[in-house]
Amino acid sequence: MMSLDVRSIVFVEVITTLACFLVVILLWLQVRRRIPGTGFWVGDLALTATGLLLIVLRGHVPDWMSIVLANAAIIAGASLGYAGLETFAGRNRSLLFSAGFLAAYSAVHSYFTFIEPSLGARNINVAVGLLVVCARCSWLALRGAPAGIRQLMRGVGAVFGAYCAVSLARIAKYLISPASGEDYFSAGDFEALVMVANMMLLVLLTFSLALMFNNRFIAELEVERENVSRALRQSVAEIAERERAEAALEKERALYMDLMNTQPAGIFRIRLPADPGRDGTSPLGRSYSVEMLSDRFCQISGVERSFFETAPLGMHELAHPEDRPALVAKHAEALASLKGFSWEGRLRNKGAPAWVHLESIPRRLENGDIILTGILSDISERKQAEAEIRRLNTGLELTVAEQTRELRESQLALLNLVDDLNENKREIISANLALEAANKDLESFSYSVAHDLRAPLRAINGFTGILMEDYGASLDAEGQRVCAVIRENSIRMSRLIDDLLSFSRLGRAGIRFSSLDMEAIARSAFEELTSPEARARIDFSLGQLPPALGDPGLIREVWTNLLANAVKFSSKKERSEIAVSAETRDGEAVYSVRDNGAGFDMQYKDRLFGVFQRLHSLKEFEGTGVGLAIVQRIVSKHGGRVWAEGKPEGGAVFSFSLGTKGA
Amino acid sequence: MMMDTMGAVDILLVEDNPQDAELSIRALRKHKLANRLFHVEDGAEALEFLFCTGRYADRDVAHPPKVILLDLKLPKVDGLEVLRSIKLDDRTRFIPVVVVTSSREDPDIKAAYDLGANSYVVKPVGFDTFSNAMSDLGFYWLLVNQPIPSGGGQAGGVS
Repeated sequence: MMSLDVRSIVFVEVITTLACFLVVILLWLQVRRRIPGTGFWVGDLALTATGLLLIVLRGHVPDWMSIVLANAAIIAGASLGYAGLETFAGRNRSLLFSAGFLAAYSAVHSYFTFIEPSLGARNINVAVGLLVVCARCSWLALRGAPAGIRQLMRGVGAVFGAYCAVSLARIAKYLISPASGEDYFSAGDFEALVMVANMMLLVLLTFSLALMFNNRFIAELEVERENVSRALRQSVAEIAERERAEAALEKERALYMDLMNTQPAGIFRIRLPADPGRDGTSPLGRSYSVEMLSDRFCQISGVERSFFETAPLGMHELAHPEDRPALVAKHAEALASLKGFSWEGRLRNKGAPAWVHLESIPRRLENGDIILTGILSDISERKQAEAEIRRLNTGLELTVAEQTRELRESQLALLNLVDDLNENKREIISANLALEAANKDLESFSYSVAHDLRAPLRAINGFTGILMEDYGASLDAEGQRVCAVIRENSIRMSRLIDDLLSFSRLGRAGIRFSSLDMEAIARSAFEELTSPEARARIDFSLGQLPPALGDPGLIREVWTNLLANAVKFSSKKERSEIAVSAETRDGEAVYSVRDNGAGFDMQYKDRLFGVFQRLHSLKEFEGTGVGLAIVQRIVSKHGGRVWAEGKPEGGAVFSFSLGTKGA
Repeated sequence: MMMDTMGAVDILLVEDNPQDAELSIRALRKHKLANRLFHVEDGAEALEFLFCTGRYADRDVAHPPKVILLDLKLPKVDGLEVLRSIKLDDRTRFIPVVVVTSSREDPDIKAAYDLGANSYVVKPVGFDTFSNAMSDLGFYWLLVNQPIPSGGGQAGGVS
């Protein structure tokens, strides 16, 4: 009994295959760009459909087409499917094996068609061929493919597994009950069931392929979406990072500018193009462009920033005409040698400092441009200080000259005694060395004076003494008096020499400043000057005296001389009154010694302090006239002043001032 | 005022200024201190006398003066040089040397003491003070001062 018509089934199968072919084509059109291997499936379905069509046409087309070519097409299609799976799984395609297998299969099929026709053998061959190809497909899909892709291929693998099962069933059936007859279309129900099964499996395969591609497509889209969103996140992060970097840069630039603008010196950076440019009037033969100028630079220059952006000569235009040539020359030299230069000069514009210092370093860039970087400092104060120092130096020289003059005065005084000092006089000039040499000369000269002038004095005195001792008896009263006068005067001469020497020694003495207890010094000087008897007739009062700054030995000499004068000139009064007092004013102390003695006429007050100047006769008061000269010299060496007030028989006040700062 | 150069001498006066010498001798004589005084007028002569050479070759070096009054400003060999020679020689370095000069300004005071001067005296201008100073000197060095026992300070000793 024949319940199923195999040819009809095969025909339906052809239709189904074509439908599946269409579906695969649609799939291919959609995903071919994204998913590799889909084209093989188009080929697979096309060949399968062709094969089935040829089978349906058996009887109407030659047997080699209907039998051999049809089955070869089906196996070839299945092999293309395998190749598609391999491509999908990212494997190398084993086309050689497939081709060999196809050839062997076709040979066996031809053998059992033409040489020893056997439908049973052919059926087994077909089943084995399909089994081999489907087994390969199934194994690849379920086991061989990489794990990630294998997941997508599970459905396809299962379908191919089912194919294998059908093929195994066919083989088993043919081996157990071989087909009778040669008509394939009357092969029986089993073969018809196989056809239906295969047809169902093809539909399932198409579905599972569609699912497989679809899942892959979705997965790839997911990956892509992930990539896109990652890229998006990344670029957002990059943008944020760039913004941060720019903000930091901006901050740094602001800091840099702040730093630059708080520098005491102005900072500049200009670019001189390699090409000299159109501005032939520039002394450098180039125009320039301002790269950077600190505010301070403009401030020191005394012009607006725009000046430097428009003035073709820049700084050169600001330089004082007298100082400009040096600047231009140094600038040109620096550009030629590429070595740094500095220039000090005046600026001519109002409002700018009188003196500036420019320091600059040129650097050549790769393109030949020259960058000049530098600083501009206001050195007016320094210049002023230098001028001040020069002025002070001149003052110092004047002081030295003054001292030299004083020294010369004392020399002249000595010249009154002896007259061979001329040769040394010229050597005493302002220079210290000369002064020292002169001091040495003076010292040995003083020694000679002391030594050599004393000897004759000693002889005069001594021999007059002998005269009086040996011949005193034969001299009358007048003779005795004359001898006494001679002796007195020789003693006086000796004292003059002593005083003069100590006066000249003062000119050479250095001052060692220390804080002085003026009260103690004045008191001890007074007590040293006077005997207890003398003190008994002196009303001595010592006020509060502020401390002073000076040389202890020299200041003591001042007190000794002033107090000695007071004692001496008040000695003719019944009671001497001597008062020492002091007051402080304008940072200096003024010390005074007042007496009630002989006083003096104010019209001679200028002569009081000269060497050997005396306002009283020797008969009235002893003295050499050097004491007050010594006082004046010491006080003026200390930077103080000395003066006197008095009136004849009305007493006198001698005052001197000394600095108290640091005392 | 000269005396036998061979005999013992108390005072050797080295003084080039004849007036100063005369005043000195007069002052000393007044107090009977000039009996054994010998006066030389320059440094060279002083050294010859002390070391018994030249004009004084026949003198006995074993009889040194009790004191030498030495002026510093001397012709030929100057006073400091004389002092140095005296103090460097073992035969003479124990003789007291009194430097007698005109001024306390003398820059040589320190040099004189450095070289071993025993005393330094400034000649006063006044006749009386001068006389007193000289006689004080004489008294002190001849009568008060105790010299090294004769022979003790002399390298050669007395045979």
